[in-house]
Amino acid sequence: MEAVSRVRHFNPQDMANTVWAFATAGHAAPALFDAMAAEAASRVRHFKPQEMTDTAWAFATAGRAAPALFDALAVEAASRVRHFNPQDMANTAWAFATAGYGATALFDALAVEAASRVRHFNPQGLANTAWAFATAGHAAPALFDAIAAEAASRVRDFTPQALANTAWAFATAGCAAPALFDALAMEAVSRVRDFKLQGLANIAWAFATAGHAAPALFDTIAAEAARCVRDFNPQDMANTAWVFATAGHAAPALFDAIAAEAARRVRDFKTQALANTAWAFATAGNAAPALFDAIAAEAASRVRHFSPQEVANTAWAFATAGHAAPALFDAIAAEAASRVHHYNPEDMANTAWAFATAGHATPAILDAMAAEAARRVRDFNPQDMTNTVWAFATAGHAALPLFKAMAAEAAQRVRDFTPQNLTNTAWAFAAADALQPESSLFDQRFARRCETLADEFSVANLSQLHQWQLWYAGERGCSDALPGAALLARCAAAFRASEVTISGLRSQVAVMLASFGLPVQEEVVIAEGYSLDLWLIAAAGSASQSRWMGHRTLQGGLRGATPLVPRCSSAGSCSTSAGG
Amino acid sequence: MECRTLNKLISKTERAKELLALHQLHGHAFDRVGLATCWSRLGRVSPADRGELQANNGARLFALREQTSLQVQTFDARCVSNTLHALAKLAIPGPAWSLWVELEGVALARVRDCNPQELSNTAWAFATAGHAAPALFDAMAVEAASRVRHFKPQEMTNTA
Repeated sequence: MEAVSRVRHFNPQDMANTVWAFATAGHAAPALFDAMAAEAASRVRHFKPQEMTDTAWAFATAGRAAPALFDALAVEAASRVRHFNPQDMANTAWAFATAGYGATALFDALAVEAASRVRHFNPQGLANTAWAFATAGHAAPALFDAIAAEAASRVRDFTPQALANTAWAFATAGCAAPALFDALAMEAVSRVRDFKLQGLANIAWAFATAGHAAPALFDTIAAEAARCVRDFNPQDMANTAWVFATAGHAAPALFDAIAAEAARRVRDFKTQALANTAWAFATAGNAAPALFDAIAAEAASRVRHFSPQEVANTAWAFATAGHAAPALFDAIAAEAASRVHHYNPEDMANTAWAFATAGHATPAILDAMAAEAARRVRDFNPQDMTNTVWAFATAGHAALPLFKAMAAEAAQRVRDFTPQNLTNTAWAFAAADALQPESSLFDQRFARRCETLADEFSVANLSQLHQWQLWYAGERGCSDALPGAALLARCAAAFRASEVTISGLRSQVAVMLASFGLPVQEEVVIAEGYSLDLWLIAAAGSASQSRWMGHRTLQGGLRGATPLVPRCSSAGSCSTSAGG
Repeated sequence: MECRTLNKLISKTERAKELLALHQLHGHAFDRVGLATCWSRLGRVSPADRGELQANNGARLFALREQTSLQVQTFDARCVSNTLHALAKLAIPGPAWSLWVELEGVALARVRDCNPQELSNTAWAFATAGHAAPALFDAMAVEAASRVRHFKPQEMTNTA
């Protein structure tokens, strides 16, 4: 009996059980796994579904690569998927996703089979299957729809982890499932004390990423998180702020708590966490001056270690928050100027936008970016092009070769421009007075695009277009290919109606001029349609007119540095996103 | 009652109460096979019976456990594997029994005598029960790897 038993060899069940046991025990045994993989791969057709599943699960859990085995399992499992029970299906999908083996045919087969039997899956099976397909990046809309419908009616049976994993999976896969998200939110709120902090963070991330509003859930999470923010590590703080900013859910007490804690521990933040935290506070509109000061000092000293995206996001955050940080911007300028060839178009555009918005127009970085952007203009999308020309125009930084390259590229792609892209770009060329004679940017295609988007323009867009028209037709004398009269009339009306922010400095100048016996009028719209910041009334009764800090030479006017900008405070909105 | 007769009787008994009664009456005559078979049958009882066995940290199993500890050094690979497999299935709550450590030591000494099923069942038992046994797992890994490598397809009878 003993002799017989000793010559017996590993059958599929023995192999599956053995690797399962070693994986479950967390006992590394690479030589054993490699030997088992080679053996199992050659005999996989003798494996039952559960043995295939357990074997794949064990290799995935142990993190032992076995491409030949997974290839063999994928083929065999796909051909026999009908014989898999729900748990086998869920675990097989989980194993292949965890091990990082795409196995398209297997995932396709599993998707069809699982969708047809979704009612027989237990909650963990539903969550794991969704998680696996999302992790594998394998699109399976019918399966996700089936899981969403099934899970929504059974959320009470889900563990907190299964709730969080399911939300994560649908958000990652980009599958809209509003009923499911509503059900998940209600369930999570009612069981918030059962969640670990990480689970709450995960579920909040999912809702923010999916863009699914869940105010009660976010309020609950905010209260929980604010209570224990001292237990957060820097990554937790950055992620939590990112989530609430992305979701657009106001949580001032939480942000205040994070700000106080993060400012104290800013040295422990990795560069991405610094950038994301700044991004989140700026996006949420939470001032947090002490935190911004701390981040500025820390980021300035570590700017060499920032990736281009982190630089762009950080600069964007400080500009958006309106938090002055000259030393940080100087450090970024020095660093970015020497590394601009590593920046992608979005990073360049956002960084330039930030420097312009912050009023920190360092020539070195703008020159470097102008040259690089002109060289790679074909890689820019309309938003990047728009932000870039807007930035250079706003900064008043002459970069005619850049504008020439942008004009040529934009002319080819004007049909892809959104209303805001279109009017910001037009405004930028006008403000920079940067149109080459041979440019075809503002030809019939531009006019047609304006007419196509006429109903989508905001007041700010129309106002910008009016300013462009003043420059293009009035100063450049180009009357060909203008948009129609009706649209131009709307533009002019919008411009006249737009609110003007009168700066304190301008008011002081007006007072000072008056004290010199030079009476002025503020905000005067003249017949040509220009809005003049200050209208100087000459002593002899004739009038000389000026635009405060307007560099375009108007009749009897002054020259200044910032063209058209004060009239268009909403001109250059720039969106950026931080990595969560 | 002779051991062989007793062992046959144990192997045909399904209810936990009857198995424990057999042990109470004839335990003194249980050899290693009888003990391992008794554990093995207890590992397969109904969920309701298992629930009763789990009560009070497995108090009903005290006598059987004590006798097993006394005789564990005589266990061969099969007896060790079957007993461990049953203990893992019974999932007795509470502090780990010292019997696990004793069986681990005997299993380590018998690794080379184990057939593949005994190796996989032993590994499965420790993994399922969550008892760390690093030295035993190292030894089983070496043994199992060498067996798998030496396998020749024509010798294999698929029992799956």
